[in-house]
Amino acid sequence: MSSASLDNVRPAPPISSKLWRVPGVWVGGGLVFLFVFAAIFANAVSPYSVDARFGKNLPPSWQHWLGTDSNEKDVLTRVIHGSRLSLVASITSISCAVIIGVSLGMLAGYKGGRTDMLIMRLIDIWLSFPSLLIAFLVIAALSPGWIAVILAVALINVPVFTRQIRAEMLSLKHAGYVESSIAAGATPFYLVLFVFLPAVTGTIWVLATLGLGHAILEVAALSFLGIAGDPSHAEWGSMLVEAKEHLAITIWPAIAPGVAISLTILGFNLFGDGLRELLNRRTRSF
Amino acid sequence: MNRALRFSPAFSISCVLFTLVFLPGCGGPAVPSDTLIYGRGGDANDLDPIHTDIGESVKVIVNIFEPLVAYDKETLDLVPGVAESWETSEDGREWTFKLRPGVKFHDETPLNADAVVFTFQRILDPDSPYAFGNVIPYFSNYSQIEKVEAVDDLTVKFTLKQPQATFLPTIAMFSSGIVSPTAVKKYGTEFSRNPVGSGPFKFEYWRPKQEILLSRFEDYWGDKAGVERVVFVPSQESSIRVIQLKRGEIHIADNLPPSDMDSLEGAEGVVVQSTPGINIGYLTMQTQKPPLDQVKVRQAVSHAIDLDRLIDVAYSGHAQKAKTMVPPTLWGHGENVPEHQYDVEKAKALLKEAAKEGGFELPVKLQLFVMDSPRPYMQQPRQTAIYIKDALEKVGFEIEIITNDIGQHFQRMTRGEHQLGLSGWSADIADPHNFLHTLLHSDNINKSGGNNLSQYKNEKVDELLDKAQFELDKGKRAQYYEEAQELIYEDVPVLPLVHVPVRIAERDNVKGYKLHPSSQVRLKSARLEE
Repeated sequence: MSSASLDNVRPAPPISSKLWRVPGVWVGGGLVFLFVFAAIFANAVSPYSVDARFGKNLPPSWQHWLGTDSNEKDVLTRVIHGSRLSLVASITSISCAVIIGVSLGMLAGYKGGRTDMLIMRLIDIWLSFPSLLIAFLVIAALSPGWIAVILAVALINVPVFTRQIRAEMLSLKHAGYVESSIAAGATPFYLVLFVFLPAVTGTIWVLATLGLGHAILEVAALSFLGIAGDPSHAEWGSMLVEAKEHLAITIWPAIAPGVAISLTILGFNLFGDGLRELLNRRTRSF
Repeated sequence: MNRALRFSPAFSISCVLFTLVFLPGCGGPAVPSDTLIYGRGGDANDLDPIHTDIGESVKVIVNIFEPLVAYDKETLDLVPGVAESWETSEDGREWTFKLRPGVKFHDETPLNADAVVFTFQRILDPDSPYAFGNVIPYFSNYSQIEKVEAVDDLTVKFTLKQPQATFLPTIAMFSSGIVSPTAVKKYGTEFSRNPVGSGPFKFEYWRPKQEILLSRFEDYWGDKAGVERVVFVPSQESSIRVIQLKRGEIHIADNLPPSDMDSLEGAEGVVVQSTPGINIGYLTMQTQKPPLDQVKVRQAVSHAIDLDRLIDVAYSGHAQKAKTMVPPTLWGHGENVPEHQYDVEKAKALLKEAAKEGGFELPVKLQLFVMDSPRPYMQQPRQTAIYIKDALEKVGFEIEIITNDIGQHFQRMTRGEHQLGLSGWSADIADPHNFLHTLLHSDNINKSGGNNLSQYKNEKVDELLDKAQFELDKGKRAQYYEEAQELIYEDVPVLPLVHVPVRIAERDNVKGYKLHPSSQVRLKSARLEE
């Protein structure tokens, strides 16, 4: 390679210099931080203990900013505590989805041929099922409860990762530096761990952040349908079912978890989009 | 998974709006003025009297079919129905019924002794080609009948294996409704969708999950029905029934949550009716599985729960605190059974003692089984369960709530898979036997449908309940039941929670319909005023 061609490649600008140009990261990150903070410090932040009883369906007041629900419990407290289950369930399930999805995608992209065909057809079949149906199948196989919900949401999200990672692998495989390392005698193990994985990390982060938004909604939907086990846990989806029956009497127990769900999803989506914008420029400069 | 979006509150609201906009189209202009529309929470499953035990089916069945003996208009007394009169032999083993002459089924078949014998053959004879092979839920109620014969065209004789006090109430049950033999033979298994009886209303059609239409039977032997047609409309969401009623799209709405009932009480053009129900809502405790096999643990559960608060939270105050399984509206209610005692300290102490003796650690983990949809005796199962969970966790239990759909809930509890479970019972026949024997006799522990969910076994109680069943003297029977209830109180196989009044809301132009204490929905006397 001549030195002239090297000059055409501009060095990637550092991420920090771009950060301020992408407001989504700030707004989204802020929202996400808010809920993560609430989840971690739920006991300190919320005004009351999570199962304390006050009075049935009280309207908002200074004592109870969002009123109380039909189980006589403080809505604000339960929304704050609810962020725990929602976030833990979504993060766990997306992590599972990343592990399964990325491994399958890399395997398909790297091996190619019959393995690729097999895995991708499997993913196609997977995608042809409505996601709720997959969830019901999982829950029917296990028993209703959080483990089943987490597994179901994980399985629903696997195809996204597999497809995207496989696509990137196809172009990566023929990148100059990959071919060089193969020529230098890199083992498949080394390749995956130190060559491919670092190259797709950016994509994984973006997809995972966006996926978290979906996962929050899916978790809430499944617990709304009553298949997330114990309905007495403070969880946004089950709070909504509870509130639905008393809409004519008080709307706060319905609005509060609804808004919480929307805001976390908005947060994750903005953050994910921002990340993509940031990282895409960087990846493009390879 | 974007579908999940639909479950937001916005969706619920748009659901309601949608219903508001489109439902009038279903029933609105086409409905003639002389049609009574009955809105309820679910659809029937089967309209053959012997094949169902689902309340929503029974509501329709009691208007199409009539048993030999009927309930009085307002009380639980038994009065002549299709049978004009009856008498018993000296030893109480033979019952002879004289049928009313000239009674006809809706298909013109005369209702005679042969039809009665045919009806009971379907229940009693396991090989009857007209029983259609299905399970007969109330079979055990009839197990003491040895044979049924036609003496002459209008006389039927029942012979019992031994005298049974509950025989006559059983004959008055909906499942003893006399069916038209011609129709059963004609429709075969389809009889459950084409029921033909002799009641005040004739079956017209059934559109599953949409409506069941009945029309007035003009050749009815007694007072004819007050309205020309009755439509049963199921709508699962109670909030929709409330709106339909307020707008006058349905005339009667039943099975509404207590808080909705309260809000309807003041609504314009709506009248709320209430009657003390013969029912019990209770907490069953699986007595065969540790740690609930220890009476002290069961007592701890009992003392931990404040029934007054429970009634406030889950019934909006509209229920009566229970102390025994037999409701106070029924004879045989255990007057001498002590009142339920709410005492947190005592519960804690009992549990500690039991833990020491049994060698288990606190907190004691228990599963609480809950049904997913309301029952008349358990109007807000989720709230009830959450209340009980919070109360029990204060004294040293750790509760996991397991929700199942109603069918699965009872199926699993019959198999004894639960530890604690919400349950209840509405009387089929107005007799303490129906509560105590059905729910707590060890004969009723079985895996395919026995109702002794606690798997309670106490030989003394069994003996008392057996004696009471075959004793004909009411005073003595009451004494046996009293004793049995005191023994049950000490063993705490169940915690009786509440007796719930039956409440319905109706438009103010519906006249003459009165809730019956048996909670049977008999619409014959209902009229519509302009």
